[in-house]
Amino acid sequence: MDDDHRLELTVNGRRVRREVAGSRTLLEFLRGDLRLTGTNLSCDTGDCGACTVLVDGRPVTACLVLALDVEGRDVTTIEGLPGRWQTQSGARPPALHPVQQGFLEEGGAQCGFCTAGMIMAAAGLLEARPSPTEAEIRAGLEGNLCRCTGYVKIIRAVEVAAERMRRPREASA
Amino acid sequence: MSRPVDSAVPRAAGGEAVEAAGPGAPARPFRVIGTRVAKLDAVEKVTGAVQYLPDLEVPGMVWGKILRTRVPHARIVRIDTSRAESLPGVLGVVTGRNVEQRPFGYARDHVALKGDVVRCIRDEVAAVAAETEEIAAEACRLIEVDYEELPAVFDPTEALRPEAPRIHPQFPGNRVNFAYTFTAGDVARAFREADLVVEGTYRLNYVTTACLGTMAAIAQWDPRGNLTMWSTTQIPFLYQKDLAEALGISGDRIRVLQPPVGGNFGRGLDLYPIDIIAALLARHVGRPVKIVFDREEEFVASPTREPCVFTLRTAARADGTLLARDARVLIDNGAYVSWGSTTPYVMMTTLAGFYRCPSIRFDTAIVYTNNVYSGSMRGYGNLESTFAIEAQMDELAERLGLDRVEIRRRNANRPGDVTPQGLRITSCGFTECLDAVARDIRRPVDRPLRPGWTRGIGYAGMFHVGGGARVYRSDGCGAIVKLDDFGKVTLITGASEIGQGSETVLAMIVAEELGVPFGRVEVVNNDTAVKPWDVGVHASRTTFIAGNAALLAARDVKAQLLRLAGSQLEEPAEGLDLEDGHVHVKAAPQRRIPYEKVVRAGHFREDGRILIGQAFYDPPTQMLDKDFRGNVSVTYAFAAQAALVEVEEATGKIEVLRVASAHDVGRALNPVGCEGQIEGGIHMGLGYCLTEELRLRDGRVLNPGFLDYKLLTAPDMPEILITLIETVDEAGPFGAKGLGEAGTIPISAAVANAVKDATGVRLTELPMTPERVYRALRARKG
Amino acid sequence: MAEEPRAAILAGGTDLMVHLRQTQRGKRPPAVVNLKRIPGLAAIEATADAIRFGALATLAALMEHPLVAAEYPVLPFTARFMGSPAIRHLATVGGNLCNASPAADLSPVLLVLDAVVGIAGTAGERRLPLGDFFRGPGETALAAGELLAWVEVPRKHAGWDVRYERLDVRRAMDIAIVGVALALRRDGAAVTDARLALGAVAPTPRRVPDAEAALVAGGLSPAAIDRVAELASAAARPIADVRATAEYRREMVGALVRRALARTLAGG
Repeated sequence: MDDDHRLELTVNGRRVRREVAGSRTLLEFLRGDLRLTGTNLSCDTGDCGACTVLVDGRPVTACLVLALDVEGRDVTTIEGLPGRWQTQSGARPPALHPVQQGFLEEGGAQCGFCTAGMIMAAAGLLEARPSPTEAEIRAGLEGNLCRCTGYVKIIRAVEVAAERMRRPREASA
Repeated sequence: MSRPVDSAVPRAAGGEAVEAAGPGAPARPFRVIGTRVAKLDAVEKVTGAVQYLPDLEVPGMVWGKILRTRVPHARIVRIDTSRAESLPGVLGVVTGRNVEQRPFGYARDHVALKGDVVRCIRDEVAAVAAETEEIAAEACRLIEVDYEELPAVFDPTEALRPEAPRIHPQFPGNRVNFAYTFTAGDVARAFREADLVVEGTYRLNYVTTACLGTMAAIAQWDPRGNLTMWSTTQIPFLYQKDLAEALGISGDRIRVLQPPVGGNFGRGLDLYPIDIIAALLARHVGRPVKIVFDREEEFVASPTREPCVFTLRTAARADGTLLARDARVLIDNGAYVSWGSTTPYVMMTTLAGFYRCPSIRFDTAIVYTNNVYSGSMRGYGNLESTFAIEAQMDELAERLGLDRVEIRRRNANRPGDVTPQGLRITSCGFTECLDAVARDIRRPVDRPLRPGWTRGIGYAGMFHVGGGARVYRSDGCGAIVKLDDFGKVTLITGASEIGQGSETVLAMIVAEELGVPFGRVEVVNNDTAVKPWDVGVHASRTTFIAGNAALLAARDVKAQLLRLAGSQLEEPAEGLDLEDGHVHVKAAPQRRIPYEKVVRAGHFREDGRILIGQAFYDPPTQMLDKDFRGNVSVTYAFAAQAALVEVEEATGKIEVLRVASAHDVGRALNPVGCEGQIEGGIHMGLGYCLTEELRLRDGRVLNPGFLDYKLLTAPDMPEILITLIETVDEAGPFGAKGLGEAGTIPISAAVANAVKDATGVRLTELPMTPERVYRALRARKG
Repeated sequence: MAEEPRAAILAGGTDLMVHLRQTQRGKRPPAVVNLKRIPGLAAIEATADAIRFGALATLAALMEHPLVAAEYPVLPFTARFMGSPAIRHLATVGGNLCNASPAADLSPVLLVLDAVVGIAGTAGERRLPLGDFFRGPGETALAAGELLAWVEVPRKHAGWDVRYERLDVRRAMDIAIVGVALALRRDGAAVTDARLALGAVAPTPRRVPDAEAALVAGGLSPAAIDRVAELASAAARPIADVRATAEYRREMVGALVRRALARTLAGG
């Protein structure tokens, strides 16, 4: 089970190739092999959402995914989110994703440990559902625990981001 | 005096003119104070650039893993680490039998690695250092330990019985050697003469901080025997001292670094075995060692809030004025003394100080058991005390036929009051807080009531320290402000940032005082080798104490700057001011220089000088004396909350629709930060109230995971309406008071009172799970 | 799988990955067989008679499928209680059934829809009613070397009144304390056919035949509702665990059955 296998995929817009053990999780691969430490390990059992990343644009908890199971796929972490947004919207670097920008403006991060996963879950939500109601935002983030904020400013940040994303010209400034 | 401010109205960067005494506000609008700014580290956090302790690597670092006991109370008969030591990749193993240790902890009843007896399921019996985390974990599984189980006790009432097993040989009767006993006035007479006496017993259970970032440490020794620790501590200087004693070295050999931390909420308020073990292991194997708790370990081994049974009687007159309160608190201390054992300090100050009540009796029994032991957790005893007091305020109101808000107004603390312990109330906006929540909780609700559900409203107030807390002999904080050649202002503060935004508000204070743009201020706060002393983050003290220190240091460097500029401009210093990054002549503002030019000109010359300001602010307060009297804080914080709830009779489910939360903050220096602390505090308090319980059976944690230790999720949170009341405290920096714990403290009481209002039933045990509520509703019917 | 009959099967990983982490203590399965590359196992397809979910169809795919949402909205409604959006992008219908948690939400709903599973083995494929698939907590009718290939719901219940009621503590990320699934074919206040299944109150999710009979016999009268609730409560075999006591679970079966029937009457 733990023999190494070749893994090739796209991470944050770049082709990546490594040898990984069969049992290595995507989270271990991102943090350990690729040194992308922006995605945090908090529970390792899928119950807190801190390790949420996008696989082909869909949020998943990286601790539950085997690295080999994303062979050939497109993975985006918090580090790659600005680049993903720039590609999708035409915004110029160093523009942040509107959710990141919303977090800055509304105070969505306190200790920040849940923040990367929260932002990725929100970004994935808005890609699938560009005009969510407040209830839909809450539901979209229901798998992301936060101990600091009570979610209030996080939800506001996502609302602000959604509004901005619906007005593309301003968004790509 | 107070001016209610609705924080829903954004405050423009012009503020309002304020005249206040004390080190507080200048008589001009604020440019920075009161504006909505992003946290200093927000960009790093939203981009993933921030490096938490688990992200850090030190050259040569190896991984440590702790082996814990399999049973809560036992003698260790045999421990054999040979198989672990010979596993490839293992560098070494430490146990209580192969390293030198000294007892640590407030009562010196604890050693890091237990070599003889284990007393709770958390107990550490060995630790392994290995090249990877997996190998270290595997090695732990290869350590053989034989235990001879000892009779154990898991209930404090049982533990007090003479025949109960003794947890520590030196503490007969299993009583922790602290007495928190206070009397004032004439309690017996007050109860005799009262028109009404109400009584109740309240059970508050284990909860835990459940931070998203777990406890962690990296220990590194240098060839000279100096130790560097990277830690999740929130008391770096006390930690430095305590760790030195535990290791048998002098404190000057230890340097403590504090990387950004994934939450704390009081968890980091003591020295814990993880810290000592990391250091012992690193010394043993000669390599830096990193230990990071996994999630299960975090639930089992990080400190909890103290469980207690709180028995209270309140005596009152027919018009609702309080005459006396008599409380007895039984605390399950767990196996060792940590800060949970000292929470009666705050239970007492609330019992004796919240609302005017002339006669007081307070007593505790703090009892050792073989359960896990408690530390400080946000609110630190005040949640429990407030829960009992506010339940009885409602009961008094009901039985006396009084309005529930009115009875609170009638007994409210007022500026100038001195509590029976000698706490001096200065600024006090409590009644304004009550008025605000009473108004906001009654705003229209657009959700219709569903069949089978009833709705209710409940109120609760809060009284807490707001200007530091002299729990330790020192309540001081040092600050240094340095101006550089390029206009950067660096605040080096003893205060720690634990995610709550303290460094941001300190930067705002410095920017405001110096008249420089907020973006020019940087804060250094994470290295004991560099920063001046501070007692630590606790008691909601940082904005007040560290803020005053920063303010005074900024004022010091500003005076130096103006003197220097005066000699450069050939004007007397009194005729100059600093505004918008420029020194200008007051009488002729067009004559101005950027301050960085003043700084450069000051030292690129013969007989040059640089500009560094410093201050150590230690407030004019006292520790409580042996009779528990003294004024422990410069000022006190007040708040009120109201909750609108719905209860489903058929299942016992509670939904909280709305929380109104009003806080006397003195002045809202950082409104985003204030709101964030309140919102997060409400989340934590609602968890305590409704869904969170660390379940122990026979000393073992049954639910060490996020699946069954239930933090509220985003859909669970109610609408939150916040009002910030500004009483402009005369002693606070720009009038501010502490706020960090306030959102958490009264909310459980408000919800319990709302459930009573909705159903007629009072729940006296937390959390109010659907099952508990259902049982209570059925008992009422039957 | 023929080589390693005790191999664990990996579908979405949302249960197995957690289990593997917890059983690092020397009890790991000798091998893990990863199904994700097997083509065709994830499809959701409809024939005239049935909607068939390939075992690897994710919960998200189930929720997003327009035909499923149109004919059996109770299925996406129920799936929404399971995990979180991120989990639902990984977790599979088949994996959830094979994990055989007594508290799984979809299971009682699939039971009242008369679901059938398809099991693939070296000897070919066999069909089994879902009610016969669950054998105990964590145990199914799969023999060594067999895989769950699909689960199918007949389309003939599409006009029925189908609902799921659940008792939990949080609004998300919570395992059901009690689950009640109800499917009724109605003619005004009369009930011409009924299915009622309980989750989280017995070693397996299961139907309650005498409650179903009582519904057909008595319709939705208050007396019949009382009787049905009693029968359902009596059929429960709940345990006590960290989430609830057995007595509370039993009583809540009655409460949820009443709520389901009340909502049916109210047309909600």
